[in-house]
Amino acid sequence: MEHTKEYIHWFDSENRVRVRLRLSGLTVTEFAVNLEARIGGRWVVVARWDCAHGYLHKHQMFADGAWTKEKIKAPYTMTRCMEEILAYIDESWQRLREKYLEVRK
Amino acid sequence: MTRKTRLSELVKMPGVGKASGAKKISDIDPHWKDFSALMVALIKYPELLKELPEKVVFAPNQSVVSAIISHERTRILDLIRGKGLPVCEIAKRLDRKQEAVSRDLGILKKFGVIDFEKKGRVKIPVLRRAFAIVPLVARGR
Repeated sequence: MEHTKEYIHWFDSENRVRVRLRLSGLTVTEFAVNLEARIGGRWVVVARWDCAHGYLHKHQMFADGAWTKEKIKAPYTMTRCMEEILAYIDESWQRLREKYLEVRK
Repeated sequence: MTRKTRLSELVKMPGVGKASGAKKISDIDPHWKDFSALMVALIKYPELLKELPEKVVFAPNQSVVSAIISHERTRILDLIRGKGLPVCEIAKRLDRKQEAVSRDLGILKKFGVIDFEKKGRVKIPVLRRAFAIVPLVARGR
């Protein structure tokens, strides 16, 4: 039976990370990691990594509603991917937030 | 390029590296590393998931917990526990405007504290069972 578990970590009152794990029985079949920020009084997804549709991909969101999607061709385990994504968010969350707010040409 | 380096490069968003002088989450939040380790462990050892509720919010301090569960929202939760009250009835019993109650219910739903069940054309807020908000306490204090 498939089900989802969700863990949200607020690292300050304006920023948080949401991890969603999709399970089939006791096996994690998919995960998604969102970096979310409160901007202009509402919560938005700034960046997202997920392996829906069977492959890992990353999305960069922008304040004007645009977003980019890129497939990550990586023969790595989900554990390794999760480690690297969380390490990257740790270091770059401020830049990701700034990127979200960039005015695109 | 090593296998490790390649993956760390691959997960980066285009043009978004670490800014010099930027603070890491782990610099401002003493619980970040524990959270990261837990998420990795849950994938590696999914049997641990049996011990955790369906949804957990890890809140670094009481102000974040309060942002989710304010006094007014606590009153709503007390009222709907075990009862099938529509929004208008909740507003009436709490002597509040229906729009304000709806807004609070929307926030509670967003955080997974409640859900809505449909009874005909009326939406009834109901408590979800598997939910926890964990206020974290810094170590070494």
